[in-house]
Amino acid sequence: MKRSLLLLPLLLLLAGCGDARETSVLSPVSAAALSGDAAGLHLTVETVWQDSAEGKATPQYLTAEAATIPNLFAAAANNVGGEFYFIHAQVFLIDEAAARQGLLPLAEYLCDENDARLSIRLAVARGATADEVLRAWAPSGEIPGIALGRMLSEGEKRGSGVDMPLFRFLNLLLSGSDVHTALPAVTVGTDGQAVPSGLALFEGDRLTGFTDGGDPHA
Amino acid sequence: MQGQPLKSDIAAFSADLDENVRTLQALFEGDNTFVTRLVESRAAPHLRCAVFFFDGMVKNLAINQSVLRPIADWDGGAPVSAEVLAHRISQVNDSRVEPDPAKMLSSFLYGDTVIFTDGDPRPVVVNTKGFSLRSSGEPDNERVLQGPREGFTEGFMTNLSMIRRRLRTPHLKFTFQTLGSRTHTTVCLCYLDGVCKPSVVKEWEARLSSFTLDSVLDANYLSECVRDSRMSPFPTIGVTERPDVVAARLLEGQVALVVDGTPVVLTAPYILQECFQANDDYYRNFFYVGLARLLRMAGFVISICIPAIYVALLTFHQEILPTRLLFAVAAARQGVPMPTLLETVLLLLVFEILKEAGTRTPGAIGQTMSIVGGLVLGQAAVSARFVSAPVVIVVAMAGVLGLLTPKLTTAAMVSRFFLLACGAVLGLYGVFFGMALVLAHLSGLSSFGVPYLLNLLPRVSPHLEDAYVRTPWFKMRESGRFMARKGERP
Repeated sequence: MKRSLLLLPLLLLLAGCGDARETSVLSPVSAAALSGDAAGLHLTVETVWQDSAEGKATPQYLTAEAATIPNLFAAAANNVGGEFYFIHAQVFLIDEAAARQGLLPLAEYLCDENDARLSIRLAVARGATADEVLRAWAPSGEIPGIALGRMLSEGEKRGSGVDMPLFRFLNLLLSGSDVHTALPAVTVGTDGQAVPSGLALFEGDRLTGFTDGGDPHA
Repeated sequence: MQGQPLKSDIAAFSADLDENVRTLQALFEGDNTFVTRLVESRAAPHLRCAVFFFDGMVKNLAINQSVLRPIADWDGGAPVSAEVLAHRISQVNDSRVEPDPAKMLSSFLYGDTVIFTDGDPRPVVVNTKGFSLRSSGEPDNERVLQGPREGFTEGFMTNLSMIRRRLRTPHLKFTFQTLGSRTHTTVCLCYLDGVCKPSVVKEWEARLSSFTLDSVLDANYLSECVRDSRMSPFPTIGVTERPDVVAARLLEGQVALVVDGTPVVLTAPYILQECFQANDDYYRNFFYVGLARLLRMAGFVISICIPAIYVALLTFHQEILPTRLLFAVAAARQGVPMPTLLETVLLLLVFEILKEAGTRTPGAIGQTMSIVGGLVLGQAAVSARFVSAPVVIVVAMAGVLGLLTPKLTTAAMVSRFFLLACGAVLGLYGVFFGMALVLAHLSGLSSFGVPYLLNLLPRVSPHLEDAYVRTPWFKMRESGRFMARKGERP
């Protein structure tokens, strides 16, 4: 009995109460979009807010600008109003300009970041900015970022597209010097919704071009 | 009734009848139920007797017809001794001379009638017990859908007879003792000689001899004093009100303790496996029983873990939740003023309060209270944003699953709060750490020398016929005698 009492102070020493956080302080991010131009980097995050169990969840969009990837995320965290909760993000869109500059800094940052899932899907916005694709409506009426993630996943199952989560992309990048990969390309369709638009071809971590359709496993 | 005699201030009685009458009247002065009846024989004037009994505890007809009338009609010639009174005059089936004042008082206070005759200091004790007892019925908290429905009552000999009717073997032993210096309650150790290990019987006797309370009004007085690991919430001594259960446990090599004045019988050794057994597990089809027993085991584990896991996930590990579930839970918790832990603790306490109130409140009012309580909590509190709907679901599930194992109610409640505290402090790691501690605690328990986890852990014992599922009767080696002596049959 006395020996088991010793466990109590030991438990207190190991207490992780500091990591506790309530769901009410979280601002869950469902998707993000990165754009790059001469002015710097722009990040748009789609957060989900639901005011009640009966109400419908609605997306809210917040933007941040910075010169580097870490500063960009820090600025987004400051803007979001609650705790920046990135781990449930389904899709990360990158526009053409940022993709041509190279994705490795972004991929490495997301891997280092504790709150980012390695299974987050990467996609390239084609013919529109990443922000525009992110904000495109979803035909099922759900959160656009979540709908986009499901669309990419279903596309691979049907064989009409490629589903490239972050860990797979990074594994390919780091597997050798002369590596060619592909990410799914997404654009805004004529109805204003996000639609698949072929593949974005990469040499290393830089975008080299797009291809329309074709067997991704060929 | 045999047993340890009452300590008495009377050293011995006198041969003078009037002096004996004065002695007993002085002893029971102020007791209006104490009755003294002087009787003389019409035909033999030298026969003067005094009959003593307690009103309400005796059969008046037996006294009138089997004691008073034979004395009044006696026409024997010689002076009447106590033996003549006991064996020739008295027409009661159980009649004896009792020279020991302490033993006499013990029987007298239990409903026997005492007769003194002039010229002999030894009283005669005749069995005229006639106090009313509750009729036997099915115990409320041990109901079965199929099987016998007899239950113990407060009558000591009645209870013993119910056991003997089920085990008609001369190897069934009943050993009496008297416990409690004020109540002098008679208890009886029952066991099957040749099946039960002698060490278990000796251990029982040793523990009962160390019992020091002055009163025993219920079996629980003894249970809390003699059981192993008295501070553990897990039961290490069995409790039942059914004679068929007692008979089954005696056949398994356990010892039963019947206590006078209560329908509750204690049995030991008692192991965790028995907590998951229901009474009609042996009276119903083994397929259903196997499924039901596994359900009970799973239900108990889920019942103690689910509030802790809920708090741990929502407070530390939100990333484990599916995205849509996280949104739904976050939305449900919008506007709730309390942290998740406090909300869960509060609702668990309210559940316990409702359960206790429902038990204490009689009849229909209790049912109404339960319904109102559930409606008020389930609807109004959620609507008012005092608590969130998910926590109501979690607590209700934990509570309902806990009801699958009524023998583990206390253990479930304590374990639930303990794991909740662990989960609130350390997240899922804390929950599993807590479960490991609970398992370690269970591993360290024993009941009268038998490991508490017997049959549930393969290395402890290979007797799995009645552990997780019940083997069909045609495959059972011997009726689950996992604690009995091997190789000996009654």
